[in-house]
Amino acid sequence: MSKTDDRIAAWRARREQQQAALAAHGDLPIQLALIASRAETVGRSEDEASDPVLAMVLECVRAEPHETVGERRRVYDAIARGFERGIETGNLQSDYAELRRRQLRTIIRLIEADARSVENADFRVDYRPTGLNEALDPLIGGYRRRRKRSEEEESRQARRRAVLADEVYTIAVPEEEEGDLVYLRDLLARVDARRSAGAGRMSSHLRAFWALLPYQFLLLKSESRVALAWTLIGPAVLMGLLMSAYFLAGIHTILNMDVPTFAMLGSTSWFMLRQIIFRSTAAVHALRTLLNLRAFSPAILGLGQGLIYMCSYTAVYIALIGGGYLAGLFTLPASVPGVAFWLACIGLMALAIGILFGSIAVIWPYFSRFAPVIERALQMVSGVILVSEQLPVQYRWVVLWSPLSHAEQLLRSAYFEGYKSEDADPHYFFVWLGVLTVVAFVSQRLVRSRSVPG
Amino acid sequence: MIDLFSVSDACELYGQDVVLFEKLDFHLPAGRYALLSHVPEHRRLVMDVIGGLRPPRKGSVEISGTISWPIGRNAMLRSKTSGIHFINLIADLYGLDRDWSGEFVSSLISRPDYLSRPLFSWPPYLRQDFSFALGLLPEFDIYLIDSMMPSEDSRFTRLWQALFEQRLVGKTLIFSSYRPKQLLDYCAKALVFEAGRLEIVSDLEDCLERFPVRPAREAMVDSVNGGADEGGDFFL
Repeated sequence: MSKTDDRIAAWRARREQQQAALAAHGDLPIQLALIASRAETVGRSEDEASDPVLAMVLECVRAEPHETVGERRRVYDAIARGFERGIETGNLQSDYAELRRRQLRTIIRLIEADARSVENADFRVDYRPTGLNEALDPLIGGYRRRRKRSEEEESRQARRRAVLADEVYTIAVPEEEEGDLVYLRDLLARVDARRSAGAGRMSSHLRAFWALLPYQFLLLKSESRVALAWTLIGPAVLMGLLMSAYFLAGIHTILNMDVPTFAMLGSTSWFMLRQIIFRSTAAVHALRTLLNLRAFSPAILGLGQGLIYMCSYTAVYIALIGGGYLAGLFTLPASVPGVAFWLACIGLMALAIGILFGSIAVIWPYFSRFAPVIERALQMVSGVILVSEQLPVQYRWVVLWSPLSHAEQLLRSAYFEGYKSEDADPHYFFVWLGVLTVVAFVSQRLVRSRSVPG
Repeated sequence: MIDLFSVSDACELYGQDVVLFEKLDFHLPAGRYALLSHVPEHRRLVMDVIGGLRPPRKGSVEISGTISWPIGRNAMLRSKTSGIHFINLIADLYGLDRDWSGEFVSSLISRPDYLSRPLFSWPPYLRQDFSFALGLLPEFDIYLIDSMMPSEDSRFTRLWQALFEQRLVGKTLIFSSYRPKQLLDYCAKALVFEAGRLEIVSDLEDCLERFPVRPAREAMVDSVNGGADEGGDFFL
C-alpha cells in the first residue's frame, strides 16, 4: 500500500471518528467532542487498571490548550461526559462503574493539583501525578471487597433458593480438590453400601452394647497402665493382709480351706465387687457425654462398665490362680463352673448396687462420696475375712443378713473340695439379687429424665 | 417425623429448675428447621428432648427414621481414647465398616496424623473438624446440629460442605447455631421454642429478627426475670 493510500485511510478513520463524536456529542465543539468520544471508549472498558484512564486524560489535556484553569476544566468536563456515557452504554456492573468514576475523579484531581502547583506543567508521556498510587490503591481494594461481598450475597441467595427447594447446592471446590471430593464421595458410597448390606443383622440395643464394650475397655486401658495393673495388685495387697493376719494367729487352714487360697478368693471377689460398684455408679451418673449418642442410656453405660470389670477380673482370677498354683501357693478349684457361676452372681449383684447408687447420685451427687463408706462396712460382714461357720452360732446373724456373705460362702463351697457351707442359702441370695435388680432398674427409669447429655 | 405426645418436662439449668414443656402435643414434619428461642440456653435442652436423647418426665417422643447425635457437640470428644477408637465406636454403633469409615475421616480432616493420639490432646479446631467429619459417616433421616458449622475458608470446610449438601437433600435438619447466616444457608423454616410451646414459622428471616441467636443483654435480663420469681438478677 502506498503512502497516499495510508494517508487516505487515516483521513477516512479520522473523519469517521469525527462523525461518530459529533453524533454522540454534537453540542460540543469538534475537538471536545472527539475528547468525549475517546473517553467514552475508555469508560466502556472492563479493565480495572487505572493506567489507561490516566493515559487518556493526559493525552486529552496535552492535545488541547491547558494553560489556564478554565481551559483545563473544559477538557475535564468533556472527558467526564464521555466517560459517563461509556459507562452507561457499556452497561457496567454498578460497583465497577463506581470504581471507574472514582478513578477518573481522583486522576483529574491529582493532575489539576500538580498543574496548579508546578509552573508550565507539560504532562510528559511518563508523567504520573504525585501520590497517584496511594490515592488509587484504596479504591481498588475497596472495590474488590465490595465485589467479594456482592458475590457472597449472590451465592447466599442461590443457596437460599436451593434450601427452599430442598435441592443440592453445589459448593465451589478448587480444581486441585476435585479429586479429593470424588474420592470422598466414593468412600461414603462404600460406607453406605456396606451399612445397607449389614443392616438388620443385630438389634440396636445389642449393637450398642457390642460397640460400647471395646470402647470402654480402651478407655480403661488409656486411663493409665497402673489402672490395669491395679486390678491385679489391689487384690494381692488385700490377700496379703488377710493371709498375714491368719498366719500371725498361727492358722493355716480354715474349715479345710487353705489360708492363701481362702484369702485370695475373698479379696479378689471383693475387689471385683467394689470396682464394679464404683465404676458403674460413676458411669450412670457421670459419663454423660456418651448420652449424646441416642443408643446409649445411663443403664447401658453402667452395665457396660460393670461387664468390663467382670471380664478384667476373670483374667485376674486366671492369672492369680494359675500363677499361685504354679508357685505352690494356691490349690485349684474343685468345680470351675461353680466358681464361675458364683463369681458372675457376685458381679451381677455389684452391677445392681452400682446402678442403684448411680441413680441416687443423679438426684444427689454427693451420695457418691458415701459409696466407699458403705462398701467398707459391707466388706466387714460379707464373708471376705471369715465365713459364718467360724463364728459362734449366736453371732452368725451378724454376717448372714448380708446376701454377699451367702454368695462368698457358696463361692468357697464350689472352690474347695473339703468345705461345704452349712449356713449359706442360695435362695436368700437370689431373692436379694432379684429385688436389688428390680429396684436398680426402676430407680434408673425414674431418674432417667434427669440425666442430661453432657 | 418427630411427634411429641402430651410431653411435660422440666430440667435443671444453672442450678434453677426450668419448665420446658407442659402437656405439649406437637408434630414436626420433615424439613429444615432453625431452632430458635429467646433464651439460647434452652435450645440445647429442647434438642435433647426432641432428639430422643433425654426422655421427658411425662409423655413420649416418637421419632420416625434414624436420627443423628447432635453433631458439633464436642464434649464426647474429650476422652482419653484416640480418634481411631472413636471412629470404631461410631462404626460399630451404626453398623458401618470400620476401615472405610477410618479412611473417610482421615482423608477429610486436615491433620490425619492426630487420629492415633488421645482426643483430649487435639487442638480445638481439629476436634471440631473431626466431629463434623464423623457426622457424615452414617446416613441419617434427621440431622441434629448443635454448633456452628465449619465456615472458614479451608479445604476441610469446602469438602465437608459439598458432602453435607448431598447428604441433606430430602432429609430433616434441626440446626441450632449462633450464626444467623448459617441458619439462613441451611434452614428453610424456624422451629421456635417459646413459653413451653414449639411452633413452626415459615418466615425464617423475620424469626431471626424476633429471636436473635445472641440476644441483647437487656433482652436476656427481661427474659430471665419473666421466667423466674427469684434470682432474676442472675445476669446483673
